[in-house]
Order: sequence, then C-alpha cells, then structure tokens
Amino acid sequence: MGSEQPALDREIVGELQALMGGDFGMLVNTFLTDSEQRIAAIEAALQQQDPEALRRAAHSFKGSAANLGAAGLSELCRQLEEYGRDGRVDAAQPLLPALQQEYSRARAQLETLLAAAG
Amino acid sequence: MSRQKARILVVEDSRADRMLLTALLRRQGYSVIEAADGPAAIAQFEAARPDLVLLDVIMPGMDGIEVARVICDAARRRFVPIIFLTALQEPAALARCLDAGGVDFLTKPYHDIILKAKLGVFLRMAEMQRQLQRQRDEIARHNERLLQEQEVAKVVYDKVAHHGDLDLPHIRYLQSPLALFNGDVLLAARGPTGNLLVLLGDFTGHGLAAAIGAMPLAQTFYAMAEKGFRLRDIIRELNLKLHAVLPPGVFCCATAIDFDSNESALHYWSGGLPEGVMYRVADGARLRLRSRHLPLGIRPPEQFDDRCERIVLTPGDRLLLWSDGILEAANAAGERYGEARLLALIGQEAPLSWFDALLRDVEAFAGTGDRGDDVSLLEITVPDPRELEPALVAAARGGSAEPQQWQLSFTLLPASLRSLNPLPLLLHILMEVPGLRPYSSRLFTALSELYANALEHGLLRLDSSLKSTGAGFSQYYAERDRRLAQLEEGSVVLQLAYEGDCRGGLLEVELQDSGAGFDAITTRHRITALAGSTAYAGRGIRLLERLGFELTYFPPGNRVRLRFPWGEWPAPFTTRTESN
Repeated sequence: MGSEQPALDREIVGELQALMGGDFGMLVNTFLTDSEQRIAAIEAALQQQDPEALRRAAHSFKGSAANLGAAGLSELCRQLEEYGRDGRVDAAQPLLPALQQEYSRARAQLETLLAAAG
Repeated sequence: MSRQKARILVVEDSRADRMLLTALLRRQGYSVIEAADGPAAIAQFEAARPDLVLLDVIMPGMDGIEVARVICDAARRRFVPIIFLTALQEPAALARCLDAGGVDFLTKPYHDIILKAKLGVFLRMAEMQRQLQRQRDEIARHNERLLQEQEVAKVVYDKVAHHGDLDLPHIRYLQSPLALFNGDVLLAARGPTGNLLVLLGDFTGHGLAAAIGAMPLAQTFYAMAEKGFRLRDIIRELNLKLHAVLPPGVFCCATAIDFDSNESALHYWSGGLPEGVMYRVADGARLRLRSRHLPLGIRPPEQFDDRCERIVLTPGDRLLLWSDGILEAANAAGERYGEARLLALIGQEAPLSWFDALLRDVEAFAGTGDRGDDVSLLEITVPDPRELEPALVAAARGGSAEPQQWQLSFTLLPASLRSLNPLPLLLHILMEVPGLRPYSSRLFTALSELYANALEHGLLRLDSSLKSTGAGFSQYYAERDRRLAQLEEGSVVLQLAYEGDCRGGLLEVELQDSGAGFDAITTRHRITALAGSTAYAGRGIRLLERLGFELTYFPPGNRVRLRFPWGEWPAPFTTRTESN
C-alpha cells in the first residue's frame, strides 16, 4: 500500500457527495465514529488472541471502508479478516500499524473534504 | 408495485452503510424501513410488511442467516425476496445464505446500477409470484365451490335416486361414490306382487350433466314399480321421459330386469349396456343377457321397442351386471381391462365367487390407484320364492273419520284389453282408501289373478294346462298375444264397491267377462276344489285361497266376486274417540 496512492477513491467520494447532499457530513462522521470502534475491536481481538472477533470486526470494517471508497483500508481489512478466519492472529499482528496509518490518511482526506464543503 | 412504491427493509448494523444504502434506495424511488439488528428486523418485517429485504449477514447478536429463517417462516406463502448484503467470498458461507432463504447477494461497495437491476428483477418476480398465488387461490376457491355444489347435488340425488331395495340379502352390489358423476345409476324396487325390479344404467357424459338425467329416471322407476307396473310399461315410460328431457347426444344405456317369483321367471330389457351374464343352475349354462335395443332416450316413443326377453329361473341362478367403468379400468401402460378378460375370468371362476374374483382381478390388473371412481357392479342370486316378502307399502295415512261409500264400474273393450293394464290404475284408487295400504300387495296379487283369469280363460279361452311345461309357457303367451290381437268383441267389467271409515271397511271387487264361463263352477263354490291339478294352472287360485280372500263364482262361471272386510266393520253405532 504505497502512500503515494490516495487513501480515497475520488470518484466514489464524489458520487457519495452527490447522493447524500447535505447529509454527507453526517455520513462521514458516522463512518469515522464506527471506524474508531472497529479499530479498537481489532486491537482487542489481537491482544486477546481471538481470531473470530478479529474476523468479524475486520469483515464489517472492510465493507464500510469499501463503501466510502477507502480501497487501501478495505484491502488491509480483507487481509486481517483472512488471518482471523485462518486462526493466525500472530501473523495479523504486524498489520495493525499499517491499518492505523491508512485510517489516519483516509480520515485526514475526509476531514479536508468536509472543511472544504464547510 | 409500479403504482405504489415498493417497501424495502434494510437490515444492517453498520450505521454508515445503512445510511448510505437507505439514501441510494430512496433516490431510486423506494420506501425504506431500517433495522439495526436481528430482533428489530423481525419486528419491522411483521409490522411494515416489506416487499423485499436487504439483509446483512454478519451482525452482532442474531446474525443474518437466523433472521432470514425467521422471516421466511413468517412470510409463509407470501414470497418476499431476501438479498444478503455481504462481502463473504467462501462458497460454503454463500450456500448457507441461500439455504436460509436468500435469493441473491450484494457486495460492498454498493453500485447504484447493480442495486437497481437486482431489486428490479426480484420485485418483479415477487409480483409475479403474488399474481400466481392469487390465481391459485382463485382456482382453489372455485374448486371448493364446485365440490360443495356436487355435495349438495349428491344429497338431493341420493334422496331421489336412492338404492331402494338394493339391500335385499340376495343382492350384492358395488358402486363407487363418484360413479354417480360418471353417470351410473343403480335402482331396485319390489313391486306389490313381490316381483323385484332392478335397473343398471349408464348415462353418456360426465359430471353433473350425466347425473342429472338419473333423477327423472329414478323417480319414474320407483313410482311405477310401487304402483305395480311391470317392466314393459316402465321401460317404455322411462324412454319417453328421457327422450323428452335429455338434450340430443345424451342418453342412458341400461339393463332392466323384472324378477317374477310367482311365475319363476325373469323378464329383461337391455339397450347399450355391456351384456350381463347369467349362470343357470339347472344346466350349468352361462347365458348372456343380450342387448337388443338402442339406449333409453334415443328413440321417440312411437318408435321405441319395449319387447322384453324371458328366462325361466331356478332358485340359485345367478346374474352379474356391470357398467363400462370396470372394463375401462386401465393399467400403468394405459391398457384397458376389457370385456375379453372379464369373460375369461367368469368362464373359469365358480359363479359363487364371480363378484369377488372380478374385483380382485381388476385391482390386480389396474392397481388400487386406478380401479377408478367409475365402478358399478351388481350381482343377484335368485332366491327361493318363499324367502321373498312382497314389499310392504307404506302404512296407511290417516283418513277421514266420516264414513265413505262408493262404487266404481270400469269396462274394458277390445282395444283397451289389448294394450292397457288396468290394475295399477285401480290399485292407485284403492290406495286412497283409508286403512287399505297394508293390504295392497295381497289385493294387487288377487286382482292380477282374477283379471288374468277373466281375460285369458274367460274371454280368450286359453287352456291353462299348456302352462305346465316351460316350453308350453312360451307357447301359452304367444297364443295369448295372437288371440288378443284378433279380438274383435267382448269385454271385462270390473266393479269396485267400498264402504268404511278410518277404523275399517269392506271392499267388494267383481269381475265379469263376456265369455261363456266355466262349466265346472257352480254357485258359492269355495275355490279349494278348483285348485287345478297342475302346478302352473292352479297357482293363481290357490294363491288367492292362501291369501284368505272370500271368493264367490256365479254361474255360468264368468262372474266372480271377492269380498274383503278389514278392521272394525261394520262400524258399531256408538262413536268412539279417535285413539290415533
């Protein structure tokens, strides 16, 4: 996941803005709140060595991220979900910093968009 | 669907995804109901009755698969498509979704066009399903109504075309419950002289149309049998009735048989029905009851042939009649049972076991499934005449308490002597006499004998000794017909005199023929001495004696009077209170 790539697909985000209109801000804020809960859930699952909890949290996050056009984030979630399914919590561990970093990038872009829409 | 916004239930625990999907659906013109978890989804499904459900698979608590199962149960016959929202990839997981009642999947990220296409397809499918359901319900209701109507028709039919005297011990029959709606009719009635009339008929066509003709048939049959009409008269009348009421192309194949225990013979008329079989004890022969006529209802009355065949009977003789249904029983290959198989079976089976063997054989051939709703089978064993009780005509109706007194004189001239049987007519009048009904059968027998004597011996001068052999019997009747046809003058006068009231009465019947009379008979001769030396010729008069009638012959023997008092008569002078 090279950081040269934008965290968000501009086309998808553009569609979302058109679709949601004035509610776009609420959608973004909801996504951000949910995402932070999910990252916390993933951290907890890794700490408690719970592959099923990891799988579920990563799966949901993967879908939401895809919907918002955060392809890199969604891909990291897919890998985490797979490790969870395969019971390889240890192998998943190193992905956590990448996930947190990718989320920060997406969040920063979303916030910039919101500020611009103002 | 097109007239009204389709309602979509969105079940999704992720708030952002739910919001997004809801916005997409609303933009496409749907009305959206949201649920964040399984229990809320089930509650909304019941409350809002959505047309389609979009359902997330992985949710905390109750997952999507469980929710789908509950929703499918709740929907019952209503088809509500469930589309799963998932990014699941494993085939096993996808298969579980379909098993739980899902019809398709949507993966994230959602695409407007794909969402629109899938919803469109499944909503149209659901609408078609609903239409189908409505039509199926309509058909089911229609069918139910039809069945109810048939039930009602059957109740009415059963009252009219009841089986009459089919429950006599020497009659065995099988008629499948639906045979009626295949046009089969089975009737039996005992006449007032102890004769037994049986008719097996098969109307053309199916359903109510086939059953409806059975009503006039049965009504006429029973009414005439009760009044003492014999086979020829009845069959002619049946044809006339059916010819008048049935539309062209509808008719009734029938075999009718009149068992006469006094004469120890049967008369039969058969038109169009499979020819029945008779086993004759005397010589072990298996005879066919030949069908020589067109079915009932085809010929106009003036062209109708009412001639009957006569077969002499011995107790133990056995008859088997069947309708087409049994021949048409088909096996799995579509082959029919057919007459050849039936006759082969009857040829090799003992007559005693015909009935059961035939049913077994047809069942073995066609299988229990399709022995059909269409079987009519009738077996009659000729009983010893002594076992046959004449029909007990319904008990007397209450009559007028006032005493009645009347006389009636009835003169038959050659034209009527040839063609009219006056006895049913007279019996009909006598049945109106209060208190006389219980004696109708005895009276009818007596009147029949006296009339036959007056006509055949008095007027036609037939020699009764001819009747002492079977062959002579036929000869006797042939001669009777010949002389009757040539009769140019002469008469039989019947006189009835009655007095009485509801407690009793006195009936006097006098018959006088214009013949020369009996040489041997003198005044006030009790008939015992007359009882002829031969079994056949003497029977009539012996019979009357046995029945206890008081007979008086007047010289020169062409006039006879029968006197029959019953109940309390002459009435005492004091009037009593009626006890019933």
